[in-house]
Amino acid sequence: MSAKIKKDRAINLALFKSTLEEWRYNPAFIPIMAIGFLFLIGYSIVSVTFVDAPIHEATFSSVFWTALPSVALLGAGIIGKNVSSGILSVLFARPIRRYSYVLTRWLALSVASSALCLILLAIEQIAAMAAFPGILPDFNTLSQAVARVSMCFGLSATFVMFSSIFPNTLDLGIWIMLSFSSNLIVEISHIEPYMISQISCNDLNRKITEFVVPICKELAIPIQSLVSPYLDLAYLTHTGSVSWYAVFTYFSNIGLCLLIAIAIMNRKEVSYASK
Amino acid sequence: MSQIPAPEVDASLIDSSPLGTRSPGASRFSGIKVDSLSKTFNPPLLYRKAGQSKSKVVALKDFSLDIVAGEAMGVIGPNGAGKTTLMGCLLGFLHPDSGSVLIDGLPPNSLPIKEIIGYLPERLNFDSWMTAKRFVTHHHELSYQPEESREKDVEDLLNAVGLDQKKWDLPLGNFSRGMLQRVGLAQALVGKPKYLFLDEPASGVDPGGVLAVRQVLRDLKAKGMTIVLNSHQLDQIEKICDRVAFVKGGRLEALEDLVDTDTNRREIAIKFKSNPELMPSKEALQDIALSCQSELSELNYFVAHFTVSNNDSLSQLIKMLVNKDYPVLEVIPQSNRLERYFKEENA
Repeated sequence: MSAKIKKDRAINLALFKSTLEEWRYNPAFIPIMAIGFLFLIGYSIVSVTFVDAPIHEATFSSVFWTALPSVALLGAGIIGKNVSSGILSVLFARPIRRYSYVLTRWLALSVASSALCLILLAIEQIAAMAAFPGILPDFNTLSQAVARVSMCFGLSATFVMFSSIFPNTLDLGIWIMLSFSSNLIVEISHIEPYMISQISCNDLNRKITEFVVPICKELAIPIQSLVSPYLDLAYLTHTGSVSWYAVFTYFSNIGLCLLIAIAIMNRKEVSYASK
Repeated sequence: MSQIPAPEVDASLIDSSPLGTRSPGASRFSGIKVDSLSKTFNPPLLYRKAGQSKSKVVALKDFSLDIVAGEAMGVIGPNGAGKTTLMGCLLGFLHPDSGSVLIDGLPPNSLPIKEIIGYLPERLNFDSWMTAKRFVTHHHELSYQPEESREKDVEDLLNAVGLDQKKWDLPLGNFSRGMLQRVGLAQALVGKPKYLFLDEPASGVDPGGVLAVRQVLRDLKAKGMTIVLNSHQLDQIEKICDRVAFVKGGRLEALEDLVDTDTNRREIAIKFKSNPELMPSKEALQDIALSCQSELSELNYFVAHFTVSNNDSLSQLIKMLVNKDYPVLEVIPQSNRLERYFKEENA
């Protein structure tokens, strides 16, 4: 009680440390990560050697395909597993605020997945420098680093939100489903008015398509930025000045996900009597 | 473990009402105050939508109880009586529909209260990858205990619950339930809590462990810790608790004071020396029993079963038998008080 300010911290260091340790002690973690790394590096080598892709494209793996496996591997069920297993009742008997629990889990997931992505980026950069002398870290490397880290922080927030709602590792399933839906919405949003008459000969179908396409156009960007939010440095600065709208959207999405997660956790009953 | 300072218990706060409810107005009540607590669990939304017959479960209904600081309160009742729900509400894990829980005048979810409570759940779902020592250390960190004394405190706690030192560095995933109970109890005692909530602390523990846990709890009680013990082990409750709350159908059915032994009828057996010549007749025993407000229920060779009204009638009965030179060998209680309560309830 005497050191109240110290104990009201948003991030609980003991919990942060134990979350990182939990992954380290997971026997499946190292082999899966090693296989993932080797696959992505192998893919880059094959792209350069056989597909003849441009060197700067082949040097780095896709931002999405580095961030997603890292976050999904570490973060699936980041809160839901604790809720389902009943660990939370012992944890919440300690002087820990529930918002602190949510924020600490999010930060630990973001930091750990970012670290994995940056390690892979460093390996890729070193491999590129060894294979193609003269290639040095440049704006493209920095852009990759920012994109990967921002996607890890963004995806982590999305996973934390879903995990606070759904039990066990169902958050991963929900995210995959939402991801597919958002891709579908994006595809539909690409339909131009002149194409509608070619797609549908039936009047009703045409009317439905005319009604759905504008909605999809409106929803495409918000859903995609919720499912996989990240900051693309090249896009942000392509006009010569920073696009603050994109920066604001990114941070507001993360903030919204975390606020929803905190609100849900604050109302959650953690006694097994409620089950 | 170092001494836990005994709290000052205000004598005026000691409960005198029949079911432990205290008149409102005791705002600075030192202890746990449960006031008109009600909790209903609704069926999951999917059940409701599917039109299934799963109905609401009334877990607690207008439940009131005061637990004075320094007291050991047992909570017993049949399965589904609402004991775990009560424990959940006491710890702030469940949101009651109405009523309130105050610990030292504050709601159980407030940080100052979390700093002075320890909790051992019935379902020991701990972080299975952690070693026993790491687990207790983790909770030492979480409860903001001083870093300088961390290692010593953790070792003292593991020693206090009698966990074999060879097991300290093994992952909890490899532990038996009995070993987990000991680690869980060590965890609950981190930070020398003022209030200790235990849900079936000796469940699955070997006989040696049961005795060790009982001894630890008795020591803690002697040092002034307030203990709320939810257990099906009547013997354990009787040996540790000052009072016991009987919960049934979400209500407080009765509150028994275990410190006061001069209450209730009970059965005893008196064993005589196996000498037929000295053995009293059935009629003689019946007469003696009647004269001491007791009743002879059965005579089985050299063992006579009596139902005595209270402690006075028991001592009078023994005195009369001895005075008449009957060869009394021993007096055996046939059931303890809580067993008797349940027998009477079932009857």
